[in-house]
Amino acid sequence: MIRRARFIAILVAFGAALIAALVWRFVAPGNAVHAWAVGLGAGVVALVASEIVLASVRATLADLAKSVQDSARDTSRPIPIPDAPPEDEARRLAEWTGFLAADADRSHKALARERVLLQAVAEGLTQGVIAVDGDHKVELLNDAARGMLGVTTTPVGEPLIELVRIPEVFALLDSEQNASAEVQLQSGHRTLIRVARKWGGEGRVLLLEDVTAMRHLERVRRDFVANVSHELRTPVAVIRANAETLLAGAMSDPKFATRLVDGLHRNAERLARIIADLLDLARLDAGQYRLESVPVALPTAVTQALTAVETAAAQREVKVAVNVPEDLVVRGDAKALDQILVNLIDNAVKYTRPAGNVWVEARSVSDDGVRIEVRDDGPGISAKHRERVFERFYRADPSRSREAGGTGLGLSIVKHLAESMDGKVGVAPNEPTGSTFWLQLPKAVVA
Amino acid sequence: MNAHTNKEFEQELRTLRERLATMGERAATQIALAMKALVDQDDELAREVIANDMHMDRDENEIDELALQILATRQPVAGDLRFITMGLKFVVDLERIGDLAAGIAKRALELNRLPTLDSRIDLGSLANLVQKNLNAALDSFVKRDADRATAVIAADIEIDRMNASLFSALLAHVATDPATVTRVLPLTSVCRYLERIGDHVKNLSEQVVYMVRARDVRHRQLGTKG
Repeated sequence: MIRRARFIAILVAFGAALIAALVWRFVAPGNAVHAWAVGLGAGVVALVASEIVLASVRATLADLAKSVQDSARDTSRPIPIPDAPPEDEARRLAEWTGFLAADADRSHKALARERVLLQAVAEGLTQGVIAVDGDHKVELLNDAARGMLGVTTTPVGEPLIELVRIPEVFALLDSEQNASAEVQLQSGHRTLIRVARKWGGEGRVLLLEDVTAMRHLERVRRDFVANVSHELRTPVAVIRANAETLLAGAMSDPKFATRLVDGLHRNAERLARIIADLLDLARLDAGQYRLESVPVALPTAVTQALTAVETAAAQREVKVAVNVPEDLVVRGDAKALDQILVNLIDNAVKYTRPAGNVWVEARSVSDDGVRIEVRDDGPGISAKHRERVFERFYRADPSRSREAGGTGLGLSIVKHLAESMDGKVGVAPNEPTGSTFWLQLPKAVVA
Repeated sequence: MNAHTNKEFEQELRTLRERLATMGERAATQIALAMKALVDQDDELAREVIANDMHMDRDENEIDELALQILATRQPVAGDLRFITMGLKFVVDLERIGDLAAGIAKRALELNRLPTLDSRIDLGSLANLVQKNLNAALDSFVKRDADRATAVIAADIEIDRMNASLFSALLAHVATDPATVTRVLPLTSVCRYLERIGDHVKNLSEQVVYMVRARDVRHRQLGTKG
């Protein structure tokens, strides 16, 4: 700009010199040398004057340019306004540039705030969020999505296919808003994927939700309703049939009547046991089952539990071997611990092979934990059933367990009781055959 | 991928790449679920795997059609041509992997009707290695990583070795207790299926090397000039 102004100034000086020479010629004709000298003088004066003006303009512009540059680097720095009258062009230019810079600064800060907010919202969600542009390149991938898909980086700008290869995700990217699909990932997790919305032309936002636990609960609830009706209906059917037979005249046959009444009694007892167990579970669920947290000597608890199962063990000729160190003391509720141990040992005795073996062992596993194991050498429980045996009324082998006289609620009660005492319970396969039910409880601090 | 001036062509290539990779993922999931059905003796899951093979077949048809359409309408050259011809072979191997996964599920259904073998045959390690290799081959494909693909080709030897050792263990089982033959036979089939899947994964990796480096490494000793 300055260069062009200078070029114009030279042209103006040249013009001024020419006009001055012509005017002098006209004023004093006949003296050409004087005319040219006056022209030259006028030209030089015009050039020097324009150069002085140009230098001043250049200095003002340079100051302004530097201020704008500083402000671009640090948006919080204001652009200084030159000390000049309000109508001065340089002042007006500085004022308007300052206004634009402040506006840009505000927009910049607002955008940064929006970005932080979006990031915080996305990272705080338990749902996975994936946003991609029209070329299926990642714009956003939150922490939950990274966890679900096993992605360890934050690959903004990378093609999504380099991170995720789930067919349904890509099918959904080409579909309309609110379309969804449920998929089972290689990890075994069931995930619901939904196209939340389109954005920026062809871009898409996908929401991922882990529904594994929800589907599991749905199945448990469905099975529970089916099982509870079955479990209650079976003894009721026997009671009704026996009573009807007795009323129809069987009472006159004392031998047959005794058998029928015995059936009535056994099934009424069974119903009572199921109802008692269900009430126990309901109380545990509601937190109404008050448990103590006191030191309980484990060897005594195991010996006491064994007395409850010795008749059943003798009937099936099952040998029960106990290996519990004398000094082990756990913290919990003596009555609940007895209920747990009786349940686990009784199950092992019932489900091991006839004349089989049951081992009850305990040991310290850490400074504050005791592990109790009840092992058997029966046929064992397959992996599919193992993860569900603690569910209410779940039976790995329905016909066998009913024959053994269980209510189908014992292990659910065991699990609740163990958890209420800050403990854990689980099942693993025993080598070479059978099952190992383990219970881990806090160790009591003995003064 | 080369930068194309034609956006539609670029989009078609991107779709082909995504379809191949997602079909690969489907195959990997089928193997994982078939093995879960076998280990957990889960008939329902086994039947689901067999039914899902239909999706693999549909993928094969659609991907074939897409690749042929690109060839016919765009007349690609150099890297793009290699990618598309590779895709046509890739899809065949993936479809076969799907069939073999369905085969494992069928054997699982047979085995679930029989009593379990007393001794534990460790099919899990072989299946894990096969799945790991398949995932690595698919990673090498989407990331155009020829080094990774070469490593997968080399790892196939370990699959062959594990298969041979499992096969011997199963035969020894029959030798000591001939009554177990009906239970052992399906297990030997599962071993063979896993080994065949390993071979297909090796093919996939060789095709990735061809796509990236324009070198044919099939039927050659590793380390020689491709």
